Amino acid sequence: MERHLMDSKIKGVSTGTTILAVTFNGGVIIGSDSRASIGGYYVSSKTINKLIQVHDRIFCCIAGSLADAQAVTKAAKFQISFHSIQMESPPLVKAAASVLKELCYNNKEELQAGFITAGWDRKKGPQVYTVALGGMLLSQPFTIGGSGSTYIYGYADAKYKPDMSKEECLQFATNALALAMGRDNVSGGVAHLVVITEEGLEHVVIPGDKLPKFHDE
Amino acid sequence: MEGWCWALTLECLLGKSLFQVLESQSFTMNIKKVLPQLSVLPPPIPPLLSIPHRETVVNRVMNKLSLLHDKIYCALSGSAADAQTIAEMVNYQLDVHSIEVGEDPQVRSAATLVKNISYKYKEELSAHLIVAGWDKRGGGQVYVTLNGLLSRQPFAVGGSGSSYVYGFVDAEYRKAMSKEDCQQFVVNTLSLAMSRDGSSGGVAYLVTIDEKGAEEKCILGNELPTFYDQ
Repeated sequence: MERHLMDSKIKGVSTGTTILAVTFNGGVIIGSDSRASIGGYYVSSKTINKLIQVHDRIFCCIAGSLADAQAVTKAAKFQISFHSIQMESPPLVKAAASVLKELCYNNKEELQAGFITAGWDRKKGPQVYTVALGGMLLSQPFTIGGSGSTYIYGYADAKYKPDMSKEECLQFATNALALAMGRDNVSGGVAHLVVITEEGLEHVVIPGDKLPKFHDE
Repeated sequence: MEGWCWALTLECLLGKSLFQVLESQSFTMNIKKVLPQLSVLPPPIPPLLSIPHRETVVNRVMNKLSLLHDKIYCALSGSAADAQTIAEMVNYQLDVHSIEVGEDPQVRSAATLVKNISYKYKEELSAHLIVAGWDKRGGGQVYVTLNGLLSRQPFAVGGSGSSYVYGFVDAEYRKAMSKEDCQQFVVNTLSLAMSRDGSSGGVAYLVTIDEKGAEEKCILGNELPTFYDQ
């Protein structure tokens, strides 16, 4: 996922991926595609996992330079475990997002990555946070990111409903990823989805041929 | 027969891309970044819009869905001057052609004429016209002519706001929709695009073309459908 010149004109933020996170009644679903590309011309990996677990019930997904993202999430993972040991309780999703935000903001000149953090905590339940390229932190009911996200803004705005059930939410996330992967040349492969609830995690992988198909064009 | 719903879809989706809501300087900046060549075209209803200091309002009441023939329309996007010129040239050429053949021209003929100009002057021009209409041989048809390519499609979107609604139209388009469903689909798509794209806004124009003729409609901004965060 190196920087693609075209994308900086469209969004200026992220490249080579489609990521999303959506809250539903009782949990949150975080999802991404699995393609890593170089310059938008060569697919360097078809099955990369962009969903990184930073704590038991907190995941984050990365968009932008893969190297930057891995370095930042490794540092964040360490800081969050340390924080939760000090607090003697599982970290808040907001705390995890803030750690990422600090790292992004303090290193904004060198870094080229944006993050979506999603998870469940005892205080506020399911939450989704975006950390944009410069280090802005924002909490939203659902969010999409990456170069493929431009194509699904309309779909997400139209189809998202607050308080969906888990099945509806899974369908919404799968459809959104499938549509974005269908239009964006640097998103593709399989769809990775993780369902995070109070009870635990459920990792769903949908291979390319099992993704929903829309009218055949 | 696929009918008019495709033609309708195209016209509107393209038409909207040229409307801009010019309420502040910041929108002008936005427009320049996304489409530096697009001349400023405000929607043709009051209140009077402030004139941005970088660009000039050329015409306050310009129709961006241009007529090429009775039952063939084209929708303009990109550089408005280029697009308008192409449409006028093709309008003339089609008139001559239809007299020569003695009947209404085919939609494919109109699209080919547009494509020929787009391709020949590829380096100088910067406009994308989508041609759609109805003829008795093929029913409703839609053609894209981007960069000099001619391609028939069931539906098409174009303009700066189109990137945001690719997912939506892929998911929601159905073959052989009824006229009302199709109009609703188009209006929803336009509304979503207008709410996300900085250079689209104002009103929505719809043209429905079928065997009986063409019907133009204008939907004001506050009558457009709203979605969860609006």
